[in-house]
Amino acid sequence: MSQLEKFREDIHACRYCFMCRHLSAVGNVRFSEADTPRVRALIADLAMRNPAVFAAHPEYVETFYDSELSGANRFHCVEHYDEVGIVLAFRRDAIAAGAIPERVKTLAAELRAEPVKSSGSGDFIYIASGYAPADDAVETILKKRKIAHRTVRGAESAAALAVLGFDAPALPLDGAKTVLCGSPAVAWLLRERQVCTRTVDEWLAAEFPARPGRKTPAAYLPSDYLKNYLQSPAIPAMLAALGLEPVAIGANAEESYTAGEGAVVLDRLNPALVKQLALRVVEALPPDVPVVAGSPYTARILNENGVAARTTAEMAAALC
Amino acid sequence: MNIVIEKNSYLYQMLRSELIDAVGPEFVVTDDSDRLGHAIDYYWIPEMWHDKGGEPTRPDFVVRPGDSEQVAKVLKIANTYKIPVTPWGGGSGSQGGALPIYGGIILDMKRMNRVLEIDTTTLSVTCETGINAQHLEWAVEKAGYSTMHFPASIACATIGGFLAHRGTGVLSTKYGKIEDMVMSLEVVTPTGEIIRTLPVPRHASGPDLTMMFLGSEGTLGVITRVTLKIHPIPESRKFHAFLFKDMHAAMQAGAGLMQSRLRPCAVRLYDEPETEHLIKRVLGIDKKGAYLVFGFDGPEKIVDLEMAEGCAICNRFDPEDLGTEMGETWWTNRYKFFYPPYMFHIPQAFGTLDTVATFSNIENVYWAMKKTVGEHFPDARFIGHFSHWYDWGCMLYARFIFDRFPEDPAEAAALYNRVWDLAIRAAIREGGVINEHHGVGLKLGRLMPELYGPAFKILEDLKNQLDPNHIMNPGKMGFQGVR
Repeated sequence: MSQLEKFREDIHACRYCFMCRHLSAVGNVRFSEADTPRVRALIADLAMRNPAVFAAHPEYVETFYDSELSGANRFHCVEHYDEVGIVLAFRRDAIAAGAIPERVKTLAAELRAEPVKSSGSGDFIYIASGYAPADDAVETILKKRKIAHRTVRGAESAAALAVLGFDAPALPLDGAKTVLCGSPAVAWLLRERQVCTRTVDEWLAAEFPARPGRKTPAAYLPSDYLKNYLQSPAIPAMLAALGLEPVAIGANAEESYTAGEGAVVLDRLNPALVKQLALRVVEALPPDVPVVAGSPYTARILNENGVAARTTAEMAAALC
Repeated sequence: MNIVIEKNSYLYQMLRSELIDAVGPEFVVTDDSDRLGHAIDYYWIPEMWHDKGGEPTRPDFVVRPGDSEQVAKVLKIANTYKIPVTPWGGGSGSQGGALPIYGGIILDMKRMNRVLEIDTTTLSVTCETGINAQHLEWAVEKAGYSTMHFPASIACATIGGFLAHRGTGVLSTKYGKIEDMVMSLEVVTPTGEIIRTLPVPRHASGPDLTMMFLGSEGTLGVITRVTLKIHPIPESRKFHAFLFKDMHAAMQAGAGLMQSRLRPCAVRLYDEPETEHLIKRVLGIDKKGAYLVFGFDGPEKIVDLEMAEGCAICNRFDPEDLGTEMGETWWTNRYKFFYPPYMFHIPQAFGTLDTVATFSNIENVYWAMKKTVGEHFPDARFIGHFSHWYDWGCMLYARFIFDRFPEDPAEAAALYNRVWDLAIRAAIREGGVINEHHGVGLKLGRLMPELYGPAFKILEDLKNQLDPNHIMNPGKMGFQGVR
């Protein structure tokens, strides 16, 4: 059975539906129809019926590798049809059909060459995000709290492989009682594998008391994983723990402001597209307030595009 | 059939080069994915065709202009080669109006999405017409106002799409259809001239060009810029619902509301079958009868007074008072009807027999259409609601639904078209007009001469004068294809 077949109902719901068009992050910067759940479902429908479509239409496959996978459209949908699941299933079926774009093949090889390493000891495991400022901040907090821990590095590559449609390696989590994920993408991957984890934002919400006194206005960019995938209720408590008062971004709270976090490695796969996504986020930012990102990916991309964004981990470390 | 040149011909490459020169290389798209996306809109026929494995007609080029000058350049190129140009906004029209039925150029307007000015003295917003309607509403709300244009397609359609098809929104009864909201337009004519209509919507300086272009569905040019009225966000908006023993009693109450010259922001009346099925399924209100909901907005004191008067009018017709909560439930879930799985969908065959008539005629139109569908298509269900109300009449949103349609796509299309032919003719005979807010498009073009009679020649003469090569959205609205 093809992976797409498992999403038949979602494909049929999405293929002629336009109701989430306004939230298509890539569609909104390219002004395209292709980069929407509707057209992706139309294509998936063709591929589900005839796997020869994968090889015959390389542009269809390319379209699926340009998805930002924010989950904003799925979250908006009344019935939450799984347009993200359709993309991931399409990728796996395309790979099974041998119709992998060259750029994806190359990136996958690079990711497999990035080893997963573990250091330290203890049953508290921190899975590093790969973004040094955020990882250093978490290490600082753990040290100040005297929490003995192991740090696993390279897990982001495993999440990236999974999102690209490949099998991802297992992570060295034996003996873990607490698993803290620097990258929300890794937390999602592990939860899909029934591993109990916490993201940094959830950890801050649970472990740090609300900060008393006047709150600091800040532009908080929530992780798509927390907001749209996991619908985490932790965000308000985390903001309270950091003493932050969120200021509205752009004209709405529905669209993704992460510049492609959901696709994990979109910046390596399509840097020009990520630049476009980042500029849309930059344009939406309110002036004169600190920018705080829920995901290390977004903080890094914004810093690369001239915005001094900090992660919630960095904010927390500064308060410790 | 595509009338355009083969992809491997040098003429194709010439045309491509000229389009690239006009709008830039990244905005002339020929890839399979985007061309597929522009080959299927919200019209049932191309959806069915795709579902049955048929190949839809794709455009040869998807062109995304960035400003009016670029639109003009593209139209001039198209005139040189006599290439069809089909404007595309959100593609969510139900009439096939944006389908590139002869291939050619799709002029995708979404790149022209800028909000140019919010004038808080006049209370207006000027924007490019490729802007997504929800994005415009969010931008206007951020400035403290609202367009008050809330159609079910707000999340997917562009403002240009509403202008092209004379669209409407849930609050039309107070704030009007899109044509009532327009102050002025910028239009690129089919031959590539950029013109502006007069800056105010009321004047005695000759016939109104603004109204001429509204509803022209891209056949008379491309609307590139619009100034729309905006409104303060009301202090209060309240809804109330009643259940009447039948549709006639509810219609008397709805007409009474309008004839009292109260100003409800919305009125919606569902016939008995739609109340029993759709209202139950979507809103969870399990009642038999005809469900009527209406609302008022504005300063709370005035809203309360109007609501009391409105309820008093309804109570004259002996309804069950469903109260405020069942009215608010409708408002909260007003778009839910249009999301899957609540919206009708393939394998069903369905269509909205959208018509509008005076209060004297509207019930006759309803019964004539229902009788026609029932007699000729015993497998079809017929349901309806009345959703946009005026001083003089209202719109009937009637729908036919087949739970299955013939396997053969040609047979399915023939059956589908036959429903429209018979039902719409029945409506016209009773004083109905074939469409109120979805437009004509490909679906209903053949019925335009019957609707207009000899007056249709005036529309044809206008088309011939403005678009001598018939490049603009050919084959739509009853106009002929490219010359």
